[in-house]
Formats: sequence, structure tokens, C-alpha cells
Amino acid sequence: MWQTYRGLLVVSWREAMAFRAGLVVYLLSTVFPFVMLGVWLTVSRQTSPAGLDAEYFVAYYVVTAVVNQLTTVWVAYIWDREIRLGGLNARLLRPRDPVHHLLCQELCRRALAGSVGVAALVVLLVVVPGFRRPGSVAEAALAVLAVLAAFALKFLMASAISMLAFWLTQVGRIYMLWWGVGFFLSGWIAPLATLPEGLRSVAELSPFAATLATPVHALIGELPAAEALRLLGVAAVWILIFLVLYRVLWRAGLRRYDAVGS
Amino acid sequence: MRNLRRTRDYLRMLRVFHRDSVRAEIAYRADFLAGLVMTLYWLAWAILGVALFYRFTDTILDWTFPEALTVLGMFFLMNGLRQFLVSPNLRQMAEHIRLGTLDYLLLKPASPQFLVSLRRFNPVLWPDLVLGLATAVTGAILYNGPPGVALLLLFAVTLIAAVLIVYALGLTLLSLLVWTVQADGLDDLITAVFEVGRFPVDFYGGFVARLFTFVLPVALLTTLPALALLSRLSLAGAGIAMAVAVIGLVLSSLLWRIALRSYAGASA
Repeated sequence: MWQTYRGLLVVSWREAMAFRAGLVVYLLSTVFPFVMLGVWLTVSRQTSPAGLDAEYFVAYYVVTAVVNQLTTVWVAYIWDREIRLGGLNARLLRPRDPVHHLLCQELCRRALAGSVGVAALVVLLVVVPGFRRPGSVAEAALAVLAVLAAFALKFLMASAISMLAFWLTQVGRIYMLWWGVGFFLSGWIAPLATLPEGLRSVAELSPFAATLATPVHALIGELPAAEALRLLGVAAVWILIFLVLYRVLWRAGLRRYDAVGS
Repeated sequence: MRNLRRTRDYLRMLRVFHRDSVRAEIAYRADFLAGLVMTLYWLAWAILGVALFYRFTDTILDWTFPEALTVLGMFFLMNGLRQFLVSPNLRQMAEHIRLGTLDYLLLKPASPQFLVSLRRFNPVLWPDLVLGLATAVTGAILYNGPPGVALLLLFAVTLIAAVLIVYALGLTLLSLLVWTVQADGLDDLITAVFEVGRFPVDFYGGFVARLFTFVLPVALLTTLPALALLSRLSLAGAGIAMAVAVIGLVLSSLLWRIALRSYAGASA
């Protein structure tokens, strides 16, 4: 298995590097968090929204942009295309489950796109002494774990929903509907603290907070270790749920796919 | 007389091009309906997003919620126009350059600029345009009642200026495409620039606000027409918007000619 992964990773890394010319443009187009930051800074000059200050908002949205680069997955579109247009046929002829190749591709793309953001963040942490950061090595380690969990959860959520493409044609839209809710509950639009109280607790138990708010808060030192462990526990449960869901749908989908093809 | 006939010819072509685009889409009627539902869905989330700011304060730099709503409506309208007009023609132009079919286009007895910049439309975006405008007007009515005729005229002027600016931006990208060939990057960039228009430009404060008013005229696309609709804009403001639009139009046509001259053709 390790041999396979090494081979797949080498190929995927070369594929990702072919994309590097477009990388600058791609990174420049991450504007939304900074637009939101601009408005919150203006609001926080007038009042102190939910007890948050300007320093918090700057750290929150900068780190949000970086975490987003590290965890955005495109695998939903690839699954959808492969299943709907039949590209899956060629993949199924190979001896290994296609998900391994897709996972390697996604990892390499994220490593490349995320490297710029991570480098920028490291420079910020060194140059700006007041920039928020994890309070201890243990908290920093939990933050890294939270980022990995966010990536895993997003990959599995995308895969599980994409499996519906075996039965439906509009899976792209279903995925968008799912993320319409997610944009709010994940903390992408605004920090969860700015949401109404009830909605906030829903968000924390939903699979969405673990995809962004948890790693971001861990990285800016807003999560004590105990709290981080609790939220990582929630993330772990959702990862397990979506893993099982994806595998069950994949098996059922393949049976149906065979039926259509033969 | 001759000019009049030419104008009529071009208007007829425009109608044919739009009909052609609609026919290409009408085969996916369910898709169109789903698109409408999605527009409503995103609009609802966007409004909730703005409402989030107003949980903590009644006015942000003198902008109340209905006023911010008007800007958001203008954003949906203009962002929709971008996807309706700019993106499809950009993709089409990239095809033309890659496949060499631009050469045939240049042989046709009509303005090449017209044929590349207004050839394709994406009619799936019609709901965005209509719902965006409706949201903007709703915001204005909530703010100070139904607008009068004079106000609507002023709004129309700023709206026309905004549409011309979007066209000029689109034409600029088409010209740049002659050199870069890749459409995706340019489309991503203009998408990102437009994103700023979601909120009143004052919200960003100082340097950023000036940047997006004078250098990249996003403010003229959303904030300014919204101000007109809210009767907060002077006649001079509308005049400046129109002037910027005309200058943008002239400069972008000039750039297009330079680009076309540097285009060597696929066969050369």
C-alpha cells in the first residue's frame, strides 16, 4: 500500500505543479475573507460586536484564508464528472480503488496552494509579535490536528454527497445547497461568536464548524486544550459518519452502475 | 440614413445572438428552474450575511440596513450581468484563439469587436438580474418610500453607466486574452474584483475605498447606482459616472484595436 501511495503522490505532485502558473491568480482570487474583514473592522470601530476586537478579526480572517487554501477540496466535481460521463469505467479497470488517486491529487494540490499561505502566516507570526497564536506547543499540535481533521472531513463530505451521482444528475447543485448552510455554520461568513446564541451551539455540533471554525480558533489561540479536544471529538464522530456513508453509497452505487453499463 | 440602417442591423444581430443563446439552454429547462431556486437561495443567505452586521449596530457609517440591502441588490444585478455577458464571451474568445477560428470572424462584414463581445449570453442568469434589481428597489422603498420619476431617471443614468463599465471591463479582458490565451485566470480575477461590490464601498474605509472607486471602478457599479436609488446622489455624481463610463469605453476599444493589430492569426 505504501508503495502505491508513493507512486500516486509523485504523479499527483507533477500534476499539481503543471498548475503552478495559475497559482498566483488563484490565490489573488481569495478575496471574500478580506472583504468581510474590512467590514468587521469598520463595525468594530463603532462598537464591540459580540465582545470581539479588531485584533481578533484580523487574526480570524487571515487564518481563515490560509485554512481555506489548505482544506478546499475539488473532489466533488471530479467524482460527479467521472460518474456521470463514464470516466469511472477506465478507473475501475485499474486494480486499486480510484479514491486513493483522488486523495493523493487533492493532498498535492492543497500542499502547493497552501504553502504560500502557510509561508505568509509564518512570516506574520515572526514579524508581528502581537499576532494571535496558540498558547503552547500542545495547543499548536492540536491546531495542526484540527487542520488535518478539517481536510479529511471536507474530503469525505464531498465524496459521500458525490456518490448520489449514481442516482441523480444534479449533484453539483445539491453540493452547493449543502455548502450554502455550511458557509454560515462553518464560520466562513463570520466568526461563530457573532451568530445568535442558539445557532451557535447548532453550528458547533454540526459537521461544518470542524471544517473551518475549529482549526482557525485553534490556530489563533482561542481554544484551550480541553475545548479543542472536545471539538476534535465532534469532528472525529462526523469523520466516521461520513466515511461509513461514503463507503456504503459507493458499494450500492457501483452495483447500480454495473447494471446500467451491462 | 445609412447609420440608422446599420444600427438596425446590429440590433437585429444582437436579438439573433440572444435567441441563439437561449435555444442552446432551453434544452435544459429543468436546469433553468433549478438555477432560479439557487439564485433565491444565495440571495437569502447574502441578505442574512448583511443582517449579521446589523445585529450589533443600527447604522454602519450612516448606512442603515435597507440602504445596505439596496447595494446588495445592485451587487446581484451587476455580478449577474458579469456572468451573463462577460464570462460566456470570454470563454468563447479563448476557443476562437485556440482553434484559430478568430481568423474567420475577422473576415465577416461586421465589427469584430461586436462579434466577440456580444456574441454569447448566459440566459440562466436572468433570475439574478431581475431578483437583484427587485432587491435593490425593495431596499430603497424600505428606506424612503416609492421612488419618484426624477429619481428613477437619475438611477437609470447611473445604471446605464454601470452597464457600460461592465462592458468596457469585459472588452478589456477580451483584449488581454489575445496575449494570455487562458480565459480561466482572467475570469477568476474579475470575479474576485466584483466581490468587493457586495457592500457599500465606504465600509472598507480610506485607501481600499479609494482604490475601488478610482482605480478599479467597482464602487461605480454597485454603491453609486444604489445611492441614486436612495436619493443620496447629486446630479454631478451621475455625470461623473457617465463620464467614467464613456472614457472606459473609449480606452477599452482602443486597447481592443491594439490587441487585434498584434494578433498574428492562427495561419501565420
